[in-house]
Amino acid sequence: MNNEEFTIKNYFDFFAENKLMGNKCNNCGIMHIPPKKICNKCYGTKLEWIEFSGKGTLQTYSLIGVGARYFVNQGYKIENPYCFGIVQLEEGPCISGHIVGPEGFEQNPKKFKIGMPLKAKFLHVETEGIEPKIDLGFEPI
Amino acid sequence: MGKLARRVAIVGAGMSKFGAHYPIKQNRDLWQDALINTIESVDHGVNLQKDVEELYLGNFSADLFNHEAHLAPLMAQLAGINPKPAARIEAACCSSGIAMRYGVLAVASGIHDFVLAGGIETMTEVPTVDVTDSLAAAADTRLEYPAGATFPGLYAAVATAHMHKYGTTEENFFDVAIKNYDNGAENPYAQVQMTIEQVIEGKITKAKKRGLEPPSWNNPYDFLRSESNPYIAYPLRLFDCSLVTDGAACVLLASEDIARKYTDTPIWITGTGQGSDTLALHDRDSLTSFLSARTAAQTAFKMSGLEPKDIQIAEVHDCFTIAELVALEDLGFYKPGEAAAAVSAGETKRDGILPINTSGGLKTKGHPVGATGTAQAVEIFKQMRGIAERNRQVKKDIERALSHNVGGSGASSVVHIYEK
Repeated sequence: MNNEEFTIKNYFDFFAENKLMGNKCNNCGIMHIPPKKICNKCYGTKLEWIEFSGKGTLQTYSLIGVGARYFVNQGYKIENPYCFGIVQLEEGPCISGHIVGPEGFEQNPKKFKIGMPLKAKFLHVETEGIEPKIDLGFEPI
Repeated sequence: MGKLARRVAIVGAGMSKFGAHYPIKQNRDLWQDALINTIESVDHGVNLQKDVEELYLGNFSADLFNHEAHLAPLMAQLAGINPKPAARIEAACCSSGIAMRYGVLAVASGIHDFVLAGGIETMTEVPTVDVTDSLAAAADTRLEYPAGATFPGLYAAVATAHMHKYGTTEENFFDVAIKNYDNGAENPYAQVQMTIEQVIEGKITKAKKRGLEPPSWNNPYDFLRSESNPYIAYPLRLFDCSLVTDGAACVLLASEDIARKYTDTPIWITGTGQGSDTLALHDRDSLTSFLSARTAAQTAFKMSGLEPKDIQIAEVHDCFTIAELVALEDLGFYKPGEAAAAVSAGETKRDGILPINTSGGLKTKGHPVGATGTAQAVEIFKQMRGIAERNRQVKKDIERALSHNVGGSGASSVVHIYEK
């Protein structure tokens, strides 16, 4: 797809193009997200970029009331929790993401079900004291 | 392979009182409290300056909590052992469990006969949101933190998965908390020395004093299910979480050649095991069990020649109530998904068949993260010698014990087995 080096920065930079990118080992076929320079399965070093569909299923989650400063700065608090989740992508690997939905969604544990289908949503975050950035989120399909 | 080249014993162990000590007491003060407590525990006396050959110091994050990064030489100075070697060991919340392991390995190798291993953390110097952020630095800060991960949040994700897979309930978590409050109430070194019943009485008294309608909780479960016990990270509530704590703890490790110079009842460390796993929870094969802990346990059991059924008492890493259930399953005491029922049946209480966290655990003794591993060894040392304070001494002769110390959300673990 391209010859960009498999670094964590390049992984995040693809978010600006709404692309969830990882890589695939040319030797054993296993996929990584974010990309790795050395295959985690066969330890081969010939890999190529691939784009993930962004579709997956919720593996586990927590509705966090006492949040990290970064989320507190986004307005989340004990009465207004946010959802941290682990998503298994349809290509196989898992990744952490901020699970979002319609107003009030994150405050209601009953809305969440392990196995529920989700799709990636790139979240544009602007908070005090940091450069605007894009985070990986997921929303219900 | 996998055996200690010679026997190593704990001949002294002590700790500072755990609690919210800053600014009255800071790292160097708590460390000296722990040193004095340790010296007093050595039956035939010890001269640290003369006898200690190296210091292994566990500390997670004095850099972030206290703006102090280079702690070991200072703590060595306070123990009087400069210019002998001293370095800090970092493995998140199992920093001092691993510091103790390195001390054991050094003595077993023959390079030293007598070493000091300890741990220290002062967490209350910074506001709670900074404690949360600093602890989150033990997770994958590039991939987990922007998704919202906190330390309680990651364990809550483990709890959600455990509930889904095994039908574990919030009441199962409450059982762990109630037991550990009962134990902490008997520990003069614990941060919280109250049973849940006493916590409830306190809240009722307070409400009456303010002229408010007193709450009508009939039992600990009513209270734990109420809004007075809010979700920190669903499904984990406030009383499922360990505390923010300042404290220090140490052990003195001696070779078999000199151990009896210090005591007639050395506590032998006959197994030590350590494991690692992916830093991010999302890269694990299992979300309900820690591979690092299972690996550490298998190594330690194999080294000692013992099996889980031989262990009579254990201190396990209950940074959250779910973590105690996972620990009991990872250590092989119970099959996956079966620990909760055993805890509910009282098997892990002080008078049960397998007392767990008689110290009160991280839950009530407190969790100054870098000091927790050696503080677990302090409790084992006391229980095996029959000198645990107040009513928490287990009423049987303890010949074989275990401690289990986990770093982060299970990316590092260390397990020790002790015999008399």
